[in-house]
Parts: sequence; structure tokens; C-alpha cells
Amino acid sequence: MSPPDAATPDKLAEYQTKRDFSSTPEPPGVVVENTTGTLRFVVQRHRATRLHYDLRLEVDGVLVSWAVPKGPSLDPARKNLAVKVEDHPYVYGWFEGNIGSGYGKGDVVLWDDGWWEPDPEYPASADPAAAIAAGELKFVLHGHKLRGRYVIVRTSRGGGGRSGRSRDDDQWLLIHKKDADAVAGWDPEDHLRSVLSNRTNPDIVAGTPGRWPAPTKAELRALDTMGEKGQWTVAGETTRLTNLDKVFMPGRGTAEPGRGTAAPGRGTAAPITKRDIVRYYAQIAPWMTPYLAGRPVNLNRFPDGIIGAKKGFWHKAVPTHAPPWIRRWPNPRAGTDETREYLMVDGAPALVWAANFAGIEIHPWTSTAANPDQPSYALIDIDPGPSTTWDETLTIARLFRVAMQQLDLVARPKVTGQRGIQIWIPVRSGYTFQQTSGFVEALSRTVGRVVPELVSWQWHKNERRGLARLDYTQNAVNKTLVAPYSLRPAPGAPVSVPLEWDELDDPKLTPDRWTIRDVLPRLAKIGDPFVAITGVEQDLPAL
Amino acid sequence: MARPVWTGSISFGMVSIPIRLMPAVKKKSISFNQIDDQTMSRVRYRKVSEATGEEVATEHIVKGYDMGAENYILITDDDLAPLAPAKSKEIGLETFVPADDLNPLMFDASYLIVPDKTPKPYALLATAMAGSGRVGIGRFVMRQKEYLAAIRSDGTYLTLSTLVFPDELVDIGTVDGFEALDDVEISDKELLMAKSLVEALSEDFQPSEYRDEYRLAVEKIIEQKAAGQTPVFEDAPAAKAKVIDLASALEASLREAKEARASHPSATSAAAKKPPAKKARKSA
Repeated sequence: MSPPDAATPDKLAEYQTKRDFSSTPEPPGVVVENTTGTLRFVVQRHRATRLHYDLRLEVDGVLVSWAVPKGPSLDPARKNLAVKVEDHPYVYGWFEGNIGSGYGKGDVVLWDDGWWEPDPEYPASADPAAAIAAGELKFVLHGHKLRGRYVIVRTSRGGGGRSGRSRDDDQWLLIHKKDADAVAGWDPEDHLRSVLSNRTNPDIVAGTPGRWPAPTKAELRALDTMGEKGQWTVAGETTRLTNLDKVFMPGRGTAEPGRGTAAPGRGTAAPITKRDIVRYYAQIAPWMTPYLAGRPVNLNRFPDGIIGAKKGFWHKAVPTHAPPWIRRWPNPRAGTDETREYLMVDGAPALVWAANFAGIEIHPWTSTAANPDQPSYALIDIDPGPSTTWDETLTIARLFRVAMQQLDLVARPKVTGQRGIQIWIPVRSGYTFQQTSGFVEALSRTVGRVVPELVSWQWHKNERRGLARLDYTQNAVNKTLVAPYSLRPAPGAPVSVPLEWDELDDPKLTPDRWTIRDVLPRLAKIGDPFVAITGVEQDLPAL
Repeated sequence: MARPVWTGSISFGMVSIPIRLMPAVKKKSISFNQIDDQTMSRVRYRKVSEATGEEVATEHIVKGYDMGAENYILITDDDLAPLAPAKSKEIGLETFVPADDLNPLMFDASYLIVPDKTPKPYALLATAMAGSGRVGIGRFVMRQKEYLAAIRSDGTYLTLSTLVFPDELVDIGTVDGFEALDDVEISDKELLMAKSLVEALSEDFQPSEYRDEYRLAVEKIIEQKAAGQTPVFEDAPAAKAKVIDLASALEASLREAKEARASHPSATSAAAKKPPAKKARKSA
């Protein structure tokens, strides 16, 4: 629980009055209580009227911010001008995106982040708020790009202008000290990519999906030749892998899970080991980037595979034993009995860690960590009942295709890897979950009226007479659908795979057609159909 | 930090738990000032005498209880002093009752109970109460008034709600309009329909989906006016016609698909998408 600090209600007033939250992708945010024990810092690269970098330090529940035109550096010779700007809300520290209009118009990437501390050698900086008020803060950054000891010091504080104090006059200098982390000649413009999504500023404007680096051949070889357990380094981060040869799922077309074992070594019939799962998630990382980057993630875990245990369990909290490089998101509004720190996947290493943690199914939030109340997609979920045939599921999906054409909406379907089909509709910034769920409900009911013999609106499963359900209720904060390219817990390890619309007419299509073994070849051949919905900003029509 | 509204202890049996009460709710309604639109100055209330029209000084304002017909009995602070509840720093828990026994209409204001000084007895009570399905009932004195209170635990945190006294609840028998219910007859069929409607709309409560849309809209108007803009009102969507279009388009596509299948089982129709040639395998 994090009640706003009642004594300082105005900290974010300036931030909030400058923005229209029904159209900006930026979050409104509140003053939060720190529950992580460390202070967060972020640097955002913002191409506004003028290119600048925003340095933000968490102090007393908000991000105290400076705009640094030339950007922070590791080079102690550079004395960088920094203009102090209004405090930003804590969740802003995960924001990246395109501010289409209004204040701060331009594109933002999360250029660096990590934790910071007051420089322990300077007692005057031990109380950061007081030190900043006094005009000089000495601090240490622990980031991905920025590291080491810094000082930020005020050089002039307004009052000179005719109209009294102007913000632009609140000028400071940001200097990296000569320490072990200093690098002469280091220029931030040589390191442009987001630490969240690996995108550049132009990628954000163009709606180009980010791609985390894939493991190299040498890295994959190291995994293939590893024994039952060992340390595996991918993209610079090391995970301790265990039980690599444990069978997690039987192969296709073998005995039921839990009874008998699969015949080894024959194509799709070969059983799936934890090594296969770790390898898959490392290799699929580039393709999952646009659906996971910047979002809290819930894991459906099967620590002993699906053999003997048909049901997994939901794991939301990042366990304390997770390595320090695992990115955590403290939900600023977690209730007293709710998960506080969520996993944020930021590359192949985090997926490898999650796979080793037996997180077979990955479910990202529909909203981002920066703005948990703003959905990025409206989601249609066709959930077949026990007596729904695959033909009938396809009939319903094709009706949604007609609806998308009629309503002129960009959307794509995906098979769930189990029995259903979902349709993902990207939406512009500013929608609430109430609006997306209202839209999907109205649309689903219109479709349902055309095929009343196939669809039931009964809440309880046993009252649906085996019919399909069109589930619009997943359009809510912290309710999730399975990620594109996530594995599913079933024999053969089927995958939830995005489709082109005309694949709904392919007689060979089945909801679990693709497995851990043939998704990567498919991607190499036809690419990711969901690229068509990435970065699309569209209005939902009134129904 | 917000200031506690009350500091003291919860006592029950031999145990005393030092605590602070913090407000659990922060009301966010927007308040306006009254302005004279000719002078643009604030409008103030003044306390004036009905007899003279003159303002009355605070020290001359006393309490009068209305006996009707312009008769008042004057009550002085001295009259009330002996009745004031003894100042106490204790919430005495008298009994633990099943939560369902409490009429929800009795709940008044809500507070968070925060452990003060030593957390252990707090944690003990919170844990002991968890899962019992019971709430603690007790009395305490806050701001010179005695309150009835219910204390609840969710396993970790204790909360307190003040309760109105039962005789403050309006007696349903005294409210006009309910007597019309006496003669209503309901058929089984009607009941079944109503029940299925309730079930169709049943879902888990998602508090985060509800917000004060009116307040947000007022805030937006204020913001726009402050920025020198004319407020823009978003019209309620009036596009009902689209539903009919969409429904007929869906019907048409379904008909086309069926006709294509019936007349040309092996041919591909340009308009209708070809259904799978044979029934696809049903997967696990």
C-alpha cells in the first residue's frame, strides 16, 4: 500500500497541470513510498523541440529531474549544463514512447536506468532533498551505461529576467568525477539504444518493433554441451541453470502426460527437456521484444513440467533469490495482500532466467509499467467450450475478421497453442480499460447474436452447454492473455502464434499447429504477422 | 507523512497494543468558493442577529435547543461538561462477532490502524483474527465523543471503522413506499430470467475500474480554463446505426460462407473464404 504523502500534495502539481492525460501516453502518477530499499535513477533521451537527456533521481517518492542538453557522460572533462525541471512521478521512470502533441511533444527512449545513492564520502549529501535545495548533490550512479561518482551543482538561479524567475534560469552543471568508472571521450550519442526495448528514438516514431539480441552460435553451443547444470552467459548476463535434462513435456502423439514416456529421438515425438525450453526462450527473445518490453510479466510455472502435474501456478512476485540484474517493477499501487515486485523482461537473459525458473507460460500485462491504467491493446478472446469444434471456432474468428474490415481496424489473430483464437487490436494512448473492455463486449455481443447456437454468455462453465465464450473481461489491469510466442503446457510444447488473416482459411491450420520445434523456422520464413499491429495508434469506433 | 487522527492502544484481555489511527480515505471532491461576479471578490458568511441585523461576536453566541414555537432552552458548556466522556487512550475490545452479523449500513468512517512503538502485539492480533471471519467490537473516545468501532484484519493489517449507533439507522417501517412490495407475486419463470441476468453480469469486483468521472471532467474544465482554452465537451457517441450495419455485414458473410460450402464443396468462392476442407483434428 502506498498512500500519497498528504503533507506534500503539490510535488507533482506542475507536472500534472502541464499535461492532458486523455491524450498523452505519459502517466499521471502519484507520490509513492519507497519499498525497494534502493533509490531508482533513470535517464531518458527525449527528442523534443531540442534534443536533450532527462536525468531523474528518486527523492522522497518522486523523480527530481534535470534536462541535460548534451547528455550525461562518463568523461570527467565534460561539464554538462543541466536545467532543473519539474518533479516527475515515480512510474515515469519506465516511460518510453511518442508524445504526439502538447507539452513535451517528441519521442522518448529509456536510455539508462539503475539505482543511485548519495556519495557516502560527503555527509552534506546524505539528505538528498536538502542537498538539492542547497544547490549541490554528490552522488553515485549504478546504471547500465552510467556508473561512478557524480556531482551536480547549481550555478545560477533565475531572478535575472524581466519577468522574474524563469525555469530556464535554474542552471546546474553535471560532472563525472575522476574515478575508476571514468572514461575519457565517452559520448552519450554513441550509445543510443533503449535499455528496455533496444529501440532508438527514430524506431519509436516509426513504430519499428525493438529486437533484443539473439544468442550467438557460440553461446548456444555452450548450452548444448553443458552437463545437467551450469553457468550460462547470454548477452553479458549469467544464469545458473539446473536440471537441464529433466523431461518437462512428452513429445507429440505419445501417451497421455503422466502415463508412460515418449519414444526418444524421433522428430516431434521426442520429449521436451528443460534445456529445450531454455534454448527456445533464448532464441525467441528478439521476436518477443515488442510484446514484453516495458511491461510487468506474470509467469505460469510448472517446476516439474506437465508430467504428473497438469496445472501450473501463477507466480507474479520476483523471488529474492533472483540475480540482481533481473529488472523488477515495484507496483506503486499494490494492495496490502498483492504482489509488490513484478518481473520485467528486458532481453534474452531474463527469458533464460524465467525458463530455468520453470516459467513455461509468459503472460505480459496489457498495459505498460509506466502507465498501468492505459491498455495498449483491446483483446478479443474466443474461448471454445467442450463441444465447440475447430470449424466453429474458425467461423467465429472469421466473423471478427469481417467486423475488423467493416470497422476499418488494424488487428491480427493468433492461435493460443491450446484450442482458442485471440484477436489483438492496438489502440492509441489515452484509453482506459473500461473503454477497451466496453468496446470488446459490445463487439463480441454483436458477433454472438449472429451465431447464438455457438456462443453462451453464461458466467459459469457448467451452464454454457459446452458452447464457446467470448471473454471480454480480460481487458483489465493485471489481467493477462498469453504472450505471442509463449510456450503452452501441453505435449509437444505448442506455441501461441500470431497469424495473418488469410491463414484462417488455411485447411492445415490448427490451434496448436506450431510447437517449440517449428516456430523459429516459420519466423525465418514469413516473419511475425504482429509487426502489422506494432506501433499502430488507432481510435476505437463507437458501437 | 499524514498526521494520525488518534493515538492510544487497543486493549483486550490482558493485552495492550499501542497504535495510531490514520484516515483510510482521502476524499477528492472538488470544492468551489463563492465569488461575487460584479466585483470578483469572495463572498463571506457573517453571523448576524435576527433582531438587530448586526454581526454577533463569537463570545456572545451560545447554544439553544429548539423547543418549537420560537422557544429555546439555553445549554451552556457547563451543562455539558459532566457528560463528556472521560478522556481515554484505549479502544476496549469487548467482543468478536461474525462479520456477516454487522449491518453494512452501520459503517461510518474508516481508518488504518498503524502499529506504534512495538509491532509484535499488533501482528499477533492481526494474525489471530485472520480467517476467523470475525470482527472486534469496542468503544473509544475521539475528539470528546464516544464512538462504537469495528476492527477487522486481513491477516497483515488491521483497519477500524466507526459505526453509527443502531438507533441512528432509519427504521424501514417508517419509510413510505415499501408497502407496495406486500402484494407482488413472482412466477418461477420470471425469477429464473432475473437470476440468469444476474449471473450473466456476475464478475469479480475490480475497484480500479471505477473512478469519479464527474470529478475528472470538472478537473479537466478547470485545467482548460486555467490554460485560457474554452472547455471542450466530448459528445456521447451516437453511432447506433453502425451496430446494425455491422450485424448485417456479419449475417451476410455467414450466409455467403454457408452457400459457398453448400453449392461448391470443393470450389473456392471469391467472396466467401473457403472453410477447411475437412474437419480439423481437435486438439488437447
